Amino acid sequence: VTKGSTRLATTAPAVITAVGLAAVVIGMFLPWLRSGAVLRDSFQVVGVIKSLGFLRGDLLDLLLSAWFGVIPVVTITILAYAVGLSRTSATICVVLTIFTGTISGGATVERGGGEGPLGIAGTGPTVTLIGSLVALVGAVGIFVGLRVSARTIAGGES
Amino acid sequence: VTYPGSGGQWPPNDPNQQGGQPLGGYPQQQPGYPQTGPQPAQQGGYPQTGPQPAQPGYPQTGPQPTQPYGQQPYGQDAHGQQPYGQQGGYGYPAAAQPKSRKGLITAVVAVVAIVVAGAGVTVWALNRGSAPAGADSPTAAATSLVNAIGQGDVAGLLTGLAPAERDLMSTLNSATTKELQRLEVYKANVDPNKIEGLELKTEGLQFDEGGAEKVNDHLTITKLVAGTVTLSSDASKLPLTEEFIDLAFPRGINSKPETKTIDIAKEVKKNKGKPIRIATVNVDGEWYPSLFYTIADYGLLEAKESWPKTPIAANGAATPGEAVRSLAQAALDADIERVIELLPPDEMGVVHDLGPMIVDLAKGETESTGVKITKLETETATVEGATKVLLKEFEAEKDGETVSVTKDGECYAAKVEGETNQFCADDAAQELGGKRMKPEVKKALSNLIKGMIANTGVVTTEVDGKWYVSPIRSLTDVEVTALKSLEPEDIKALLKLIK
Repeated sequence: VTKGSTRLATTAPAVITAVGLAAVVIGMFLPWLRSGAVLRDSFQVVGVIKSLGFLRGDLLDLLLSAWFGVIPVVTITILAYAVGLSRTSATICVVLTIFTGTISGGATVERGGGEGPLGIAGTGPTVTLIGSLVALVGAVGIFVGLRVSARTIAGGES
Repeated sequence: VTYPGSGGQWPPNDPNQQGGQPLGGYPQQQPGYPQTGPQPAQQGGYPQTGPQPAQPGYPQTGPQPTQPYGQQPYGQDAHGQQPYGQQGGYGYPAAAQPKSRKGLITAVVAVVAIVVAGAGVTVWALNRGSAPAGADSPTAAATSLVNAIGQGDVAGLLTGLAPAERDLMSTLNSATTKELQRLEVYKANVDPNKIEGLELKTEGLQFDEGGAEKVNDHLTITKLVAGTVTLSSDASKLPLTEEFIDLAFPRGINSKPETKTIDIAKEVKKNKGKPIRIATVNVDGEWYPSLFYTIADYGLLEAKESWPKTPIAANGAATPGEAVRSLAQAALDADIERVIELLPPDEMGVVHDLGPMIVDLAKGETESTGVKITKLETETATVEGATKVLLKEFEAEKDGETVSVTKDGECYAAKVEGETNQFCADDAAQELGGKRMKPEVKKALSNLIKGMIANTGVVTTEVDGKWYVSPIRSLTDVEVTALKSLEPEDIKALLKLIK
């Protein structure tokens, strides 16, 4: 194991995670709901669902509120990595991407064929789902990179 | 997004180490390697030209007890867990301080930038997600309504309505859709908000802004004078199950799409130049189009009456049961004003506004029954966004005579002049059906009556800490209760009975 390869093992996953998280956030602002000729992003959809009161007191209501917490959690993930807590950062990232991936995955699966005046739009859920998967892979890569670093330290540089 | 340099760390006491510790967990000195020159990986890239307590210029061939190996936690990542504190002991030259400060500032700026960016995007997201509000002016409210229709924006149409009306409609819509799905009338995958088979489109709608009528501080009538509205219907797109269609429409549904276009200008001309009126209401400083006020406005126009100047103020009760009792007593006393006071000021605001006129119209037409409610025991159940009041026991008297009604499960017992009569769901089904009725139809009717007896009540809502009786929610709850009382096979049996 060379210094360069060890560096790659820790840096590349971080970059992949960053790209994935960026895609997650961008995807959230892309269309999630098609209502007639109007497209709404995920936050507008949450606003519509909440204002119509479909999920009053429901567990899904709580999940919808949690959707607004995704961006602060992404910020915390990046901050944690920036201050050196990469293991913590990767752990938060895994939990976050499972959450965003499940919701966007569900929306992607439920997406209809574009018939009817109201339906789930494809762009937002798909980008968020891909971003979640990429970030998840990156976060797992960070854990792997940490093990590689640890082994290098234990075994000495070759 | 700012990450630390590859493999680097921004140590709290030496920011210049950025990039200096490429592998984080790397030892400060490599055993066995002579460290004679500058060691970028060591001590933040500072050349070790001075005395090196741990490495006095000799090849380090063995473990160095003063090296921070012991403190270096294996398996820790490239950042953060370095025993930086150990390095302080080496005694950096004072000249390193300005560099350290610069690096520290860069790190702090990067962290602040991340936090600010995250906060900014979060605020943006929260703004986008805040409930779609009303408009700044009555015309803008009416325009947003017709635009939503024009764009086929069902979600915008629903959320753009006055909040109380929107809640009413969405509650009824979702509750009805859920029951119709359970009864296998609607397909299982139907979205409650979809209006399949019906489409509205508008084009070039124009309002007469100068002609808008301001009735009071919270009601303005806008006037639509031009544009087109196209209504398309296609029965084949209705979300009905195949089985229901076969039973309800044995000859099949006429699935030919139909389209009708209405030219507003022509309609206005036909109507002697009178424009299409859309009532808008002001709720918490924002304007919304209102279905109820629009209907009431047309009613007043037809009756050649004008909107009363002052409304009847809402005055609710302390509990849901008390609200029902007060309203029932007021109705028996023909006290129309009190009846109106007990209606929800949000969803029945139009009745409060029309109140004085309704009271005037009722004068001379109604009179007190003289019946006094002496006992009203109720129980409550939570329904979507409201509380349903169900009867347990009712007692009233008039001219010394007492009448009481008691609910006992699926039966009602009425006591009049000492004589008790019982009415049960099963008896009612037997009487309705007779002997010729098929057992499955009898069962369906029995289920319906049982469910209605057990669950029919009066729906109340709470506004600003007081309880009001909601007539519309009560009526729609009867419909939902009827649907809830039935099973899928009951629907099929009832459809066969109709045929």
